[in-house]
Amino acid sequence: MPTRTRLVWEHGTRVKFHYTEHEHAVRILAEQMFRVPDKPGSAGPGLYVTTVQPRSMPDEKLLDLLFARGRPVIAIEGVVVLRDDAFRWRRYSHRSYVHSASPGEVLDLSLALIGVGVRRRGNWLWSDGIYLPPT
Amino acid sequence: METSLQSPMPLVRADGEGYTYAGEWIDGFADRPELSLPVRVRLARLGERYVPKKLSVTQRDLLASPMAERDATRQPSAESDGFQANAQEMERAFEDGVYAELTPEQQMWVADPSSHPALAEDVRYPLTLGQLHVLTGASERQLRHWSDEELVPSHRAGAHRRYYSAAVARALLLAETAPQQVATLIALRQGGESARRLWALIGGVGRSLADVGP
Repeated sequence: MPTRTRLVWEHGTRVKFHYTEHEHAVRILAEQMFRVPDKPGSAGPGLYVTTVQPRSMPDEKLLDLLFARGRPVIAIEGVVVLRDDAFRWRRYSHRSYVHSASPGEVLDLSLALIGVGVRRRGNWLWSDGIYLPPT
Repeated sequence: METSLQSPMPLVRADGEGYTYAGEWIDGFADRPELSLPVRVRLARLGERYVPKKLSVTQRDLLASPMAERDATRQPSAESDGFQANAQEMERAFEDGVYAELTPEQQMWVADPSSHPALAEDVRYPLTLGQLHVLTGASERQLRHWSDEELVPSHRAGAHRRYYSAAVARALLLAETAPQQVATLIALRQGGESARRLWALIGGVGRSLADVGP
């Protein structure tokens, strides 16, 4: 019987998740860059991440945790997975972190990006580095 | 059939002891002369970050080349910036109650345009004007007009307009709104004397409603 493929964080590896739209996640995988939004989030301008793993809580709860002003579900149908030591993270709320940077600044993710995931019609699809290799 | 997601460049593994590339799980960050120069430069940069003492002479030369500098100072594409702007437009549309006005089917089209029966399965954001027309039922002329009047956000990719999810949500709603009401919205947005008159009238209606109660 085939065993279910394990994802890196299910093996205990600490990573950070940046949730976004699915096609934005695909674009980040292709370009490996992130431009800090002009409009600051609740903890100032920067790259916002969380330790909440995909599929670990209902969408509504995750949206509440991530976005003070609310967003539609499409805002969490993509996820960018970064190494825990990718940047200097500042914890600003429960399970929520930010790497502070200037509005419009371009962050090079190429040395810290592990991979991305996209959810289409309810199914998550992952890039290569997210799966653990067969033992 | 869903295609797999693959990075065009090597990516560090979660354990930091190697990288993944083209479906392979590789230990270490050693140079691979058989790969293209940009990929070798990226490998050298990864090696410098994670195992600096194990860099080869060739990799040090690669890191000293202008290509390494270019790799480290890349800029996002216009499409990527479009997604970033859309995140904020999406938040505004959510706050304005746009998504709450859409039917479950329309919300599905916003989340996944390829779920619309008249669009191809591989259609992805950003959308072209033609794709937005098919998705919303509004004519291309209307959509251009709404974009020009900033009722529907659009982003330039070269000479063409591109549309993201917040634009789809707003355009779906506008397509079901009476032309006179859309014209009123445009008049309000444009400001001037007629807008002041409209605001005065809206204020009067608002007070009447408040007097009547919910």
